[in-house]
Amino acid sequence: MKNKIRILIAMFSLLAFTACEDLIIDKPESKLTQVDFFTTKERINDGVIGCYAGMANIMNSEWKFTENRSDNSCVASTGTGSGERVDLCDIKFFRTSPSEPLLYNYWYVYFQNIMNINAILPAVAPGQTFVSVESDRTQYEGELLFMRGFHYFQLVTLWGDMFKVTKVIDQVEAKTLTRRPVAEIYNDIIIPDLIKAANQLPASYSTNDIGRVTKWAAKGMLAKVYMALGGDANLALAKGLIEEVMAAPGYGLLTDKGSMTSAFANIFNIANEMNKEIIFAVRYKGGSQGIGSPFWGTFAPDGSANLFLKVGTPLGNNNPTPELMSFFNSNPTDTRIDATFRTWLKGTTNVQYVSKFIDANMTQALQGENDWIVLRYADIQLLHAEILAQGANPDDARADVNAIRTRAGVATYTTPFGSKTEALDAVYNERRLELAFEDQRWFDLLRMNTSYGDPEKAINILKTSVFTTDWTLLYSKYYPIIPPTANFFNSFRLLLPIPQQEIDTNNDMVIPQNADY
Amino acid sequence: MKKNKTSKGFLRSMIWLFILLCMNTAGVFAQVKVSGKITDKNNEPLIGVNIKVKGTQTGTISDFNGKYSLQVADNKSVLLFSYIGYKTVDQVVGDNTQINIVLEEDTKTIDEVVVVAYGTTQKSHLTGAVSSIKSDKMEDIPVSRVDQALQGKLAGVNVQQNDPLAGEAPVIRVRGMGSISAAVTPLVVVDGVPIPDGLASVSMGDVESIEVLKDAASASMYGSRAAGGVILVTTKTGNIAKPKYNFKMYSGIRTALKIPDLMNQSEYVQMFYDEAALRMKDPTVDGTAATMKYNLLPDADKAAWLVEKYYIDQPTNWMDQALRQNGSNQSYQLSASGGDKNTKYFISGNYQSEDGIMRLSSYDKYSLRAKIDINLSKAVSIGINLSPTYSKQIKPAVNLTNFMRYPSWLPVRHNAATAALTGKTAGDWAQANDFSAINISGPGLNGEYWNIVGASLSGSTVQQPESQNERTDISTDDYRLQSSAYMTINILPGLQFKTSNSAYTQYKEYNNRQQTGAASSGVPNTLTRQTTLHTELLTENTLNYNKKIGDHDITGLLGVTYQQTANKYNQIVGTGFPDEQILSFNYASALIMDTPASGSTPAINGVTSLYYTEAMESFIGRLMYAYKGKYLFSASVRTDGSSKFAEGHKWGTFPAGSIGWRASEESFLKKFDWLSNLKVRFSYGLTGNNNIPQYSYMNTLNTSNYNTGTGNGNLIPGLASSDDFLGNENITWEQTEEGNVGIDFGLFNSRINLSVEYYNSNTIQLLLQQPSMYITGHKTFWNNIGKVNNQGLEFELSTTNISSKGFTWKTTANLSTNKNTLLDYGGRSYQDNFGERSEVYRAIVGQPSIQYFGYKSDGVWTSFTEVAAAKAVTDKNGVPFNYTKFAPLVGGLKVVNTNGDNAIDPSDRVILGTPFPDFTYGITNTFSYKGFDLSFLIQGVQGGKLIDGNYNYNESLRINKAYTANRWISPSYPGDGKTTYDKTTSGGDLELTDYVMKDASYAAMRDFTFGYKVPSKVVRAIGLSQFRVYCSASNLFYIMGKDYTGINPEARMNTGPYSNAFPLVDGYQRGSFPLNRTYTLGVDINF
Repeated sequence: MKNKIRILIAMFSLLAFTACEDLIIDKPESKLTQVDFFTTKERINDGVIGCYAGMANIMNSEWKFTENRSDNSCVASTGTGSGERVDLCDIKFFRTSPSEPLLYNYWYVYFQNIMNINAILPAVAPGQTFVSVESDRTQYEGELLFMRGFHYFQLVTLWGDMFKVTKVIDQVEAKTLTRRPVAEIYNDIIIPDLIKAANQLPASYSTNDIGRVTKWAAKGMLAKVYMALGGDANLALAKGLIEEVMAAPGYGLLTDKGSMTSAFANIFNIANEMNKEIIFAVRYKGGSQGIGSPFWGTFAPDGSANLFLKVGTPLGNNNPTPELMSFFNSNPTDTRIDATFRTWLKGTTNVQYVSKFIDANMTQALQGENDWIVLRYADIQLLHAEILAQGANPDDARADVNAIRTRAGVATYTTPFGSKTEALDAVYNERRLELAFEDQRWFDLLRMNTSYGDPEKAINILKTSVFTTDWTLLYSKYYPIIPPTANFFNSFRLLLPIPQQEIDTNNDMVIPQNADY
Repeated sequence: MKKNKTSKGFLRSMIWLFILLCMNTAGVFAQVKVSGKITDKNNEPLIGVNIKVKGTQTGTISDFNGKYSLQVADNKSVLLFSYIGYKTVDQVVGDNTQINIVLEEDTKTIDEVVVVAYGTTQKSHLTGAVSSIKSDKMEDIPVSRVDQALQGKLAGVNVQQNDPLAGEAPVIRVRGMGSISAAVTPLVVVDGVPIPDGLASVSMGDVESIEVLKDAASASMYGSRAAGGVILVTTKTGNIAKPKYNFKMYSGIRTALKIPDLMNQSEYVQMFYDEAALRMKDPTVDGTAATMKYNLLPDADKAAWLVEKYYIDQPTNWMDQALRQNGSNQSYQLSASGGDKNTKYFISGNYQSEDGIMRLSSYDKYSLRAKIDINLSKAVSIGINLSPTYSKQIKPAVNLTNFMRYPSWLPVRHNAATAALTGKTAGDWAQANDFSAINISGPGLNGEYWNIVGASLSGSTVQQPESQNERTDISTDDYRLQSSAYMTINILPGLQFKTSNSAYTQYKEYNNRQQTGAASSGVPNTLTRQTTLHTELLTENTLNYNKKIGDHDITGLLGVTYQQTANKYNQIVGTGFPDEQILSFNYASALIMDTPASGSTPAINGVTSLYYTEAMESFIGRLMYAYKGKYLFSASVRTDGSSKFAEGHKWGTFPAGSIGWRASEESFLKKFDWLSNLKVRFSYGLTGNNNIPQYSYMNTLNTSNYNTGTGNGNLIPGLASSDDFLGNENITWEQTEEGNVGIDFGLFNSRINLSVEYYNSNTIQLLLQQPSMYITGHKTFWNNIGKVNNQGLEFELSTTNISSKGFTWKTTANLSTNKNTLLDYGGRSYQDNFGERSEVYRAIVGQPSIQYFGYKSDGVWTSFTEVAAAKAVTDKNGVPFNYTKFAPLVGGLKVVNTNGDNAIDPSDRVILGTPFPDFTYGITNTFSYKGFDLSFLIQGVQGGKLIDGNYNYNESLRINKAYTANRWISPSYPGDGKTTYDKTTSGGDLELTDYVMKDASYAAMRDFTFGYKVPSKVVRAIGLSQFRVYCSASNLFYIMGKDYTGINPEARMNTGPYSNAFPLVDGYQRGSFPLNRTYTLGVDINF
């Protein structure tokens, strides 16, 4: 017995003393960690792909804050059970609350992707050898810089002065950052990132990689940046870049109508993705793989059940405004009409919906095939026209505009443009018709303030659209008691509010809110 | 009191008489055999009474019938009869061979045994704050979970049923919001084994007692997980007796206490016209188009009225669709227990079933428990404790909000008329969509002929709730096995080694099957299956030392424990099944993969597989010392190492100490007869909290796939960090230091017992999930930051008010207060946290940790002149007053400009209240007379506010009578001047105002029980030993706060931003299910 006891005591003490840290170390087996992960070419490629996917999150919401606020799009019905539509109305009527959940989400997905980009950038910085082939390294770095430059371009355009985040930061560091002037963001991030991307990116990719960003996309984006800044010097820079893109092999206006009713419709044909017109698109794939496009389900007409949409509930968002439709309809031969919006007779009511992003064969709700086009040839060509319209001879813009009109099947301008204003009017009208619902209109409106030299240009167009043209036709019935007030339609509110939470969370310093919010 | 003395005197005389009578026949034998029967004063046999011959080791215990027999040396031997809870009796054998004893209850029951961490102690020696309750105080309460029965029973233990669905766990808070971190739920320890999912696996019938370790000193033996308090559950053990069987059952029905009072479309339209008529009579309303708009009924409402009047048989009452007329609950338990000197057993089986008042809400549980203790030798004993349970919970797919929001004009299924109208087939589910874009006409309410062309009755694309509910099956199957075995070895006198090893396994399977089009039309059928395998292995090895040397009582404990937890979680989502009933993924036409990142709408959660482990290693030590049973000291320490933290931050040490002084044992106080007990206690200790998600110290990468390539491209796998959490590798334990002072009084022979506790705790280096700046690319992060103070008073009173002639009336009452103060937030002065509508919960240093922060209102704008005047306000420079989104509007909420500037803007937001109550209480009264007993418990919460999120829904403000009563109609008919006209006028969409803030107080009669114990003579005649029948009711009355307009003041949202992960966001409710009122009948039989 005594011996047994001794053995037991010995065992017990042994147990007590073998205790060591090894027992309580726990590495995640089903999780990969971000720190020290990007150390091989394969992993870096995985990360870059992950950032491309992050762009999809942004594009999914972009229309809510760009097209929806422009004169192209409206919220045509606000029934019960559609809380998001009420929020979209608020955004539409320039009443975006700094506490708006959609706003938080849109803001968040930008910075989420910027964080992911910043996490990989150090691993592909010049001199790093994780990627052994230098051209691969410069490609990865170029792709990431393109995305970051693009994101920041959107951020300053939508929100103005912006937080400058160029590396992975923790909360302590985040609270030391405040908004930096727009010019500083352009000079320190947007322009250098895009220049570097344009220099480093390949002109084209092999079959499997088609869809990754090319140097032409970077140049085109950089040109847009210069044009947004405006001024002769910037326009000259933009012109050079745009002409390079227009001369690039493999791109041009799509004139083949394929299986569609028009060449224009064929641009958006899901059986004709990455056609010669497409310079850069955020790509989606339908089905159950979780990388589908939500746009058709989001835009298909409210109440149409499964008439147009094979699965899911049509959300009926992003409807064409009566004013836009009448603008289109003034030229009934325009082949772009049918490819831009269509009319469905719902009972005895006509319901119009956007028809640019149709996927008739979806198998999962909100998981369509449609890519989201970011930059296409017609856009570039019309930017070219926009620059020429501001040049010494505004009539130079006519050829580009007419090229677009010819493809669309409408009469060309035969009389020379007599003035800058006349030329600009023609260019912006054409852009509106050509690029409707591609989230370009908002950025065009903002550029107008510079190109026309009238800081009230954009806001006046928007005010007229809501309160004069579309009011009686559209909005009066939804707001019987509180009409949206025209007071909100001021130039301050062309910028979105910084999410209230972002301001409240920083209790170290006061983050300035945009004026009038 | 008087009664006691009388009976005592009577008994003594009887015994002496008996002895005298027997004298004559007495002889002088060397060995005398004595036998007899031991009963209580009600003549009920007492089983297991210890009978010992004084001065020897000889002894026995009474059997099942209270009988005993033993051999004594001679007739001078003295027998000692002792039994816990009864006064010990000495009896000289004399010439009697038959000694029947009636034992008297010892009202001075302070020396009961109380379970504490890693052992037991006498209550008189307790120096910490421990609340204890025996099973007989809870058994009759017909609830499906043990934790629900604790409601209102213990001071400082607050139990709140946030969600009344069948089988849902209530939220338990020990001493308020002891910690403001991730999980402040108490640690549940069943028979020494920490159980991860609380009290769900324990059956009420198996419970012997429940102890709650409230102060840090008592709880700190559980170290890192004890900050939320510790609940110790002790299950029943067999006694040394013949097999004893017990059968218990109850069965009852339940109804909804209060349901929302909703208008149907006809009533709504009628109200609209009645209001318009009043407005027309109002001279202050001018006839201009702008104001006449108040008289316009939207076309959609007209069309809906026509459908309701001319097409459907009767308005649909969606509440009737959502709720059962009567729910039910029942429970059956059969147990057998017994044992001999070396083996004791308790085996029980239990079946419980509950049908909630929500349709498709049910909970069924089957459980077994087998507990066996065996003495192998004098030195070694072993035991096992096995408890498998199986439970199934079924939940409705749609919450009450969606039923509440559905219009009454929509039939559940199409009848011939609506089918003809919509072109659907009669008998099909009717959907709001079916009625869009049709023409409806007929004579209208106002005498006009209404012809609504292309009516769009509802833009809702969500399926109607009944069709959604009926086509969706949601169930959770839970298989649990709690198994443990122990062995004790007595190494030396007083020194014992114990090894206790346990495994807890839980397999949970959640199935959600949606038939085609269940949630919204066109969506193919899907089956989501989530399985979780949770295993917890624990070994605890301790050395116990117990020694009494003269006046010195020493108890020591030394131990090491190691615990390993593994969690395997898998989710599969399949879609496109050829048949609605198939539950096998083999038939799925596709599996749904996860969406790449958060932020996409809607997030489809697809195939997921997670595996994570967690380990903890601990060393424990405790020393207890008592001198003369009067001066009590205790000191303990535990060191925990946890895998949840990064290298260098793993270990935490949690010491504690306590002292006690039993003043009533001092000679100078013994002379006061009325003072039966006076004890003063003081304790101080440290507890911890590591309850944060795994891997919070690092940023992890998730799938983030993309699509490239020619044509439609191909999926390319990618990775990105898409967690909302930002990793923080410096995080470590949260610590709570707490001091506790307690005084126990016992007066008049313990007829009155009062315990008062005061505690003061500081939680330091709080583990907080703080909102991070979104510019980090994450939404939140875990941090050790700040300091929170909690202090409170607790009173536990028990009195025997009347005890005479068979009638007793006893009262137990408890009351507790807790004051929570945020002392430091890492040097910041405040932190805002956000709910689902971005409503702000502000934590301000120096104030309670949660306070609602928003706009203050002052009634409604009642007249046009008032509005016009308000709009004309300018500052001295002529700048118009800026109302931003709170523009003055008749019938709208008048928001207060609190800071006196020239605008109503976010700087006008103020503190609007806190969710913390002022105090909570429970009072139980028990009456018994002969075999009858009656008891009732009143439980309540006083103070604190809640946010009623139902105000955010148009429907609440349109058709819910509680929300529209006395609303503003026109300047001359302003209602109560406080109720807004509708949602657009209730003030700034989504902004938090005090308009939606309501008093959260309530008082409820939780339990009312009336029972009858059939006299033992009758019972015995039919071969039973006890038979009790009772009926009980819960929530017979229920008083809600005066301004509360909802249906359940206890309900709180506990998902999303309100989940356990965000403790600083609390107090929000919407769409909650109704409270239950239950009536049950039960029997309790021993044989």
